[in-house]
Amino acid sequence: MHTILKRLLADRMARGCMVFIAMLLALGVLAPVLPIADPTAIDITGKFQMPGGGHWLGTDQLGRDIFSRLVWGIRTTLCASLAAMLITSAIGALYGAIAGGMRGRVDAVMMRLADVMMSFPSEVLILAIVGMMGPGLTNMIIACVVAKWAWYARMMRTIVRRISDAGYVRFARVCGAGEAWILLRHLAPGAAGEFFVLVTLDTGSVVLMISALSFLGLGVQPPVAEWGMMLSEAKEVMLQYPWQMFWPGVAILSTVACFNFLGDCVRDAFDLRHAGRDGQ
Amino acid sequence: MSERTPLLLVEDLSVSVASTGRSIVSSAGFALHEGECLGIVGESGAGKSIMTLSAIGLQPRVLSVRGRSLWKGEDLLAMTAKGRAALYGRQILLIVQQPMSAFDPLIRIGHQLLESLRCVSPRIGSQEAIRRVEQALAALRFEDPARIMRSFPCELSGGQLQRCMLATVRLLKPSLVIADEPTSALDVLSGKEVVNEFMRMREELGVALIMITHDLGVVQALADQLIVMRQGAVIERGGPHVLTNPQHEYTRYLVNTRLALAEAFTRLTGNGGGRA
Amino acid sequence: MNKFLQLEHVARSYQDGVSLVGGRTIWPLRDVSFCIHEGERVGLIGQSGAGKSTLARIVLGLERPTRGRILMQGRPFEAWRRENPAAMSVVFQNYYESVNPMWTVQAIVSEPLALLGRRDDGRVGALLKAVGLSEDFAARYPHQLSGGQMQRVCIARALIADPKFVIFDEAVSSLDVSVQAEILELLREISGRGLAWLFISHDLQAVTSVCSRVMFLSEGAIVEDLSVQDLAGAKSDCARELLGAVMPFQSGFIDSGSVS
Repeated sequence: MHTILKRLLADRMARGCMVFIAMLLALGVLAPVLPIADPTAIDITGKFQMPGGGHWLGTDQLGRDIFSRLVWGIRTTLCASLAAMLITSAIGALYGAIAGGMRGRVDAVMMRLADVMMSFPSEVLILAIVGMMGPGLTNMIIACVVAKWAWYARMMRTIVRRISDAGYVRFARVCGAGEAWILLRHLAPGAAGEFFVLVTLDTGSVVLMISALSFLGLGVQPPVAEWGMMLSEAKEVMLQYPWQMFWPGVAILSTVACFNFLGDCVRDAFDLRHAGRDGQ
Repeated sequence: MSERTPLLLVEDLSVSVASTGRSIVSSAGFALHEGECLGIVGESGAGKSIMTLSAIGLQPRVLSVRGRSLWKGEDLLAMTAKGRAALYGRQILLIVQQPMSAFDPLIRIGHQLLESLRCVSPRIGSQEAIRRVEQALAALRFEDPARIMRSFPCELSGGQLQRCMLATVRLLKPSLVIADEPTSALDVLSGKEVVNEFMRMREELGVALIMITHDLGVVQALADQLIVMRQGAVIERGGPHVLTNPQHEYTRYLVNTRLALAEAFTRLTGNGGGRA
Repeated sequence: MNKFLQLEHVARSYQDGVSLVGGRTIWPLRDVSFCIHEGERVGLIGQSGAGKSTLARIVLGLERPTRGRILMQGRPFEAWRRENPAAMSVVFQNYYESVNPMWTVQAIVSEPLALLGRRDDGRVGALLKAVGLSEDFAARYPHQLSGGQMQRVCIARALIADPKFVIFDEAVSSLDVSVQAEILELLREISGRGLAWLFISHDLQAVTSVCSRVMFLSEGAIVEDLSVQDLAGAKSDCARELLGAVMPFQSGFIDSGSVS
């Protein structure tokens, strides 16, 4: 495992992405103590200011500092996305591992349930759930989990089945290894690795989902800062003051892209046959 | 040295990775005449397949090829892709190592064979086409050609699939067949059948054959001339005497190991094997 | 010699197709009985589809026979396996797939020891040398090894816990002919350890070079069982067919040195 970490750290692209994400997280966590403006401080006279002076990225339609709202938005957007991703992948992984390990009828029944969940288009399902439960950050996370867990379950089940059938697991069984040994030494590390790749690659889409829901007004409520909602507010003045839309858009784009690139790098790092980007 | 124009003349062929310049094949060459069989031997990774595929313009895109490859006097490498495509199937046929991957798993064998036939004879009537395919399958010693035609690839064994591939030779009647390790993925019985079919094919159809293999027994049974490759270079060439009286140290190693493999068997049964 | 492995009328069936609707029952093994003595090296040969893989899985304990019984040193199979952990080992055909691609050679080879709760204390290094690899291979990963090297690692792994019985399941079939010869010579070298083995193959040349006895399997039953010395006199159709399928190879070249 530490070989993989070494390979990942040696990759320039991966390092860059990890630094970026770490920076975002740090900014988000430290937001209350940073010397930035109050994200909810309204100043109607100072609205739609261009970047410069006291406001690094300008102000929005209520005169609030955009930069500050972006930083505080990290707490909402990124944390909600990571929470949703963690819960979804944990539930999906457990469900899929059990199905893949038990095989037979248990596997068949569990997978049919998962198939039913997957047959709903995820965006429609999310909207329906939030519509029923009402807007709010918690409900948004719940909706994301309900929509996506089945996909992760299916992925994990495939991985577990493939590893269980592998030659090296058969060898261990012939040598008298018990199920516990196979689980701890072969299944868990192998499956965790592949699953982690999927999780990293998919985090970007969760960020997009959370932002999209807030854009539609189904997520957080004003005056809480959130990137998707900032976009939503900015769309009203898109033609007169396009800068307001630009900054949250760039924030979402760069975060999603960063996770996607990082996912690619993680996948390459796990694939030992791959030479490694910087020719190692 | 024959005075006829060789069917395929390869001179000074070098293949390297386009991006890094790493050499895979260096200055390989051979001359193959009509009806002849050329054996290309060497271990896995020696560059046998890449050299042969590059000689007919089918190298993987990441590789760049230099040198000359003349098909009936015309430079294959200088031809347009369209010009080469006209040769594939009609005049040059490739038999791959893994018979399972040579066929589309979702389509019945009969349809795939008919499709190949129609590439060469587009105006052939369907009754006539079916008759020809059944005839070709019967020539491959299939007892029930109609059942084979109705089968999906997954229902047939590796040996049977390889024989279906060979049936396309009888259908398309090319001038050259390139067989890339045709017996390596098969068990010995199927492998022997395949080798026998190659022998019959040469006798009955007169096709030229390039046989790429790491099994010297196969080469000895079929080849008129052979080249030995190692790490991308041709290290020895000649007629059957290359196997019976090898000169190069590496060829001697290959012959030695092959003899060692058969040593116990030969000693116990008194001969190097039976006849088909 | 004591009997080591005994199979008595072992048969195995599968349901082909959906059993609710009424699938066919397939019998890859119909009636297999044989016995391997301690220290004996026996070959099992048959065509594809004869039932070799099924028999291998049953002897390895990966599947249970539908009928018949298996005895190891006189004890029932399952009981013997419990009492003698890691006393049986295997070398598979597909060497890359039979090792964990994320593990180093050291971890791969020492797995049977770890299963027994024993430490390495140099055995891995000694075994790597015994199979013809230098000790620094221990730090490498599977994808860095050639086919022949990988199979040597698998052989080292099979031997490290001093098993009493090793099964070679088409162990050389996926290798180049020249590498096959080298691996077979390695097997001949290690045969002095007094372990019993079952060498499964479709190639009679390989079987005769490492075994003292050969069994012919055809359509789920053993049709002939004779010592390799008597091979030329084999009578069954299966045996004669397999004898005739061997590709002959003649050369005037005789090298008195060894293969490697």
